[in-house]
Amino acid sequence: METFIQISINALALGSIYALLSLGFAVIYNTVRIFHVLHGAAFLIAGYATWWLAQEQGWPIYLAASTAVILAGASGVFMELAIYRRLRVRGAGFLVSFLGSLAALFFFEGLLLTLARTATRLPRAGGPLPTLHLQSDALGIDLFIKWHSVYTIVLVAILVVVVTLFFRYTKWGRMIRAIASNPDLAVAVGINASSVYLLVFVLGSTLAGVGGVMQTYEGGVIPNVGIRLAITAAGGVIIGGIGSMPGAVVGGLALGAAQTIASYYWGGNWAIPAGFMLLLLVILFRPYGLLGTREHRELRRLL
Amino acid sequence: MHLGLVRSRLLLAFAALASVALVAAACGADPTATPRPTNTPPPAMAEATATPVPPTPTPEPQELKLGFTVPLSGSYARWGRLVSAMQCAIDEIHASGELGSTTIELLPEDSKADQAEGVSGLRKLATVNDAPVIMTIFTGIGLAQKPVAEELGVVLFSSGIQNPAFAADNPWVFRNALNTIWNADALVRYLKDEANENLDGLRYAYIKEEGNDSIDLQVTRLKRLAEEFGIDIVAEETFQKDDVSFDTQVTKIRRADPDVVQVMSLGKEMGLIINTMAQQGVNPKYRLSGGGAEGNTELIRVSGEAANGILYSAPGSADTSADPRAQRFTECYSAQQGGNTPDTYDASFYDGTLAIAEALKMGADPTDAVSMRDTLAQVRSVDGVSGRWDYDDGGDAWAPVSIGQVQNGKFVKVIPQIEPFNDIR
Repeated sequence: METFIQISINALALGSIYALLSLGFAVIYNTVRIFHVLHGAAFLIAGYATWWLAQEQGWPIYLAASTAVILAGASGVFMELAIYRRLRVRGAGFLVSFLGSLAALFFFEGLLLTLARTATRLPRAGGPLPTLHLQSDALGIDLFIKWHSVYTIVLVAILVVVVTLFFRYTKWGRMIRAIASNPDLAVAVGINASSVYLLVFVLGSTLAGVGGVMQTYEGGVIPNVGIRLAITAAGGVIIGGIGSMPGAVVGGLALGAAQTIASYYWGGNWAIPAGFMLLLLVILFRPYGLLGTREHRELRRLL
Repeated sequence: MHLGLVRSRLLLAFAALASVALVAAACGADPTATPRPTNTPPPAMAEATATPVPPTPTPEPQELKLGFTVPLSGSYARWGRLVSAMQCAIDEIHASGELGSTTIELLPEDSKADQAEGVSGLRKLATVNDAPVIMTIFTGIGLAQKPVAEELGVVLFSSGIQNPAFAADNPWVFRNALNTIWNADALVRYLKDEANENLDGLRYAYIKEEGNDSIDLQVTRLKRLAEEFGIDIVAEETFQKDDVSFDTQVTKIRRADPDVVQVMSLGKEMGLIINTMAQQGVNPKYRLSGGGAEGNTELIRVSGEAANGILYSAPGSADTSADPRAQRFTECYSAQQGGNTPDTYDASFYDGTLAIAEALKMGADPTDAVSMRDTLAQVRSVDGVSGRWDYDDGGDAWAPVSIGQVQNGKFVKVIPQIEPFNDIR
């Protein structure tokens, strides 16, 4: 029982970060229809910004983290204006946009390698994080729970609710859904597609930035993980169901759970293969994703 | 846009991205796709008798281009500090005047701790830079470079590769380093003879980096010693390079309630693992590391005070603190490395450079790889900053093994030399 609880908490903490990444990816992909590999860059920007502001400039950690998230969101503006909008104007198709995104990610990682080197950048003094020790002989438990894991799970849950409410009840949320559902019709009725695209990149990048801050605070940040992050984000979206925001969250959580369970039963080297195995099984047996349905997909793109 | 087209495009792009990532992961994987050598202790060293090389006509003032494939970027970039160690040796050699007008030029090439990059770097150094001697580090890279060095007819030298098979059966390969299996011997010997632990029934757990030949050899040796002494290996966990979460593996280790936990990592994951152990209340009697702790500043930076008390094995050395040359090495190295002092790996590479210089002193032609090879084979002993190295007929000089401990954020040698179990095969 104790082990089950410990593993569940581990899975939830890891899955929460994945869920954030996947949700941010889904926000962008569902609207703009771009395989946004550069999504990992927002994560890295937030991580490195947190480290630099907190450790190098001596800022209080909450101020550094908040600023880092804002910077990550702002990077979304840059990505849209400097890369994707230019490609759209030139009539670039899906594949060219994907390759452009990939090239930009590799360039960005190379830049990080040059500027920040490969040392793990931790935005705090080194050492273990505070933990909550739950012990009860009567219940037969002896658990150590990182407070940081608790904060991460709660924060992600709050963000998911906020994003859900945003899309359902706000004017901008409805505009995004309209563009995602039928861009031509949406433009015809007067929705500014360019503004909407800009907003989704800010929103998606901000979500990735929050993930970057949380993970960096715990384990530091290194430059060469952009591809892995992009695959994780995309994998969560596919597992959960393309076009479904809740699906992206569920997909991310499922990925975290699969990796944690595989790591426990078969060893740490099976974590990544287990994630891909889950992805493969979903594609083979439920191609619309865990929360996707044919009706859902055809009638409602978002929520 | 049609739904099916949307999904097919997404899947196509995902497949392409996954392919890129798989290639990148394969290229960035720890360099170890090699057959395992037999787990035998090293051969007995030859007697330290120098056989003079017949004098050869001294060439015009010439330069030895000394290549060095070493990680200068990537997860193992911290090993790039070895360039400073070798350069200090070269500066010392030049200043001594012992080579006359012959000079040595060091040519570092970034291997990124990757086999393919290491081999490519060796080819470039040999064919473009005309380097007749190339230094290298890391088992997987060195073993991959070995046949290529023979093919190209260049000398391959390492002062860090600990795999016993590296210099075996190849006249082009030389090495002065610690035998990797002695890391396991040193730690078990410490527990048995220094800590006076009863090894029979001792609960031992380890977590190791997957896909690292050197670490796998240590594990094999550990299991042999466990069998010999009755050590009970209660948990065997793994992780991949660049992993950032170790909660699950540590949870399993905690369940096993070990007396000893050994972290086997050559990279920056060790600090995160140490933190995770502390966070989950894993506090065994002994926390050990074999081969990857000494000089691992990431360990200190990431785990802070939690790293204090970790015991580790490392290449041993004689006490040369009074040696003026060792003092000059420390000053030279510190000046280049932001105040950091050299560790035993740095000293080994310094001494490896001395061995190469010894061949030049004995009359080797610095532009001729065959001459360098044949003369290096004649080198029998070198007095270096880490002590005396005695080279055997196979081109190997084995370092003794030591035990160190992290104390107040510093790497402190606690047992300069500790005997391996040479009688256990």
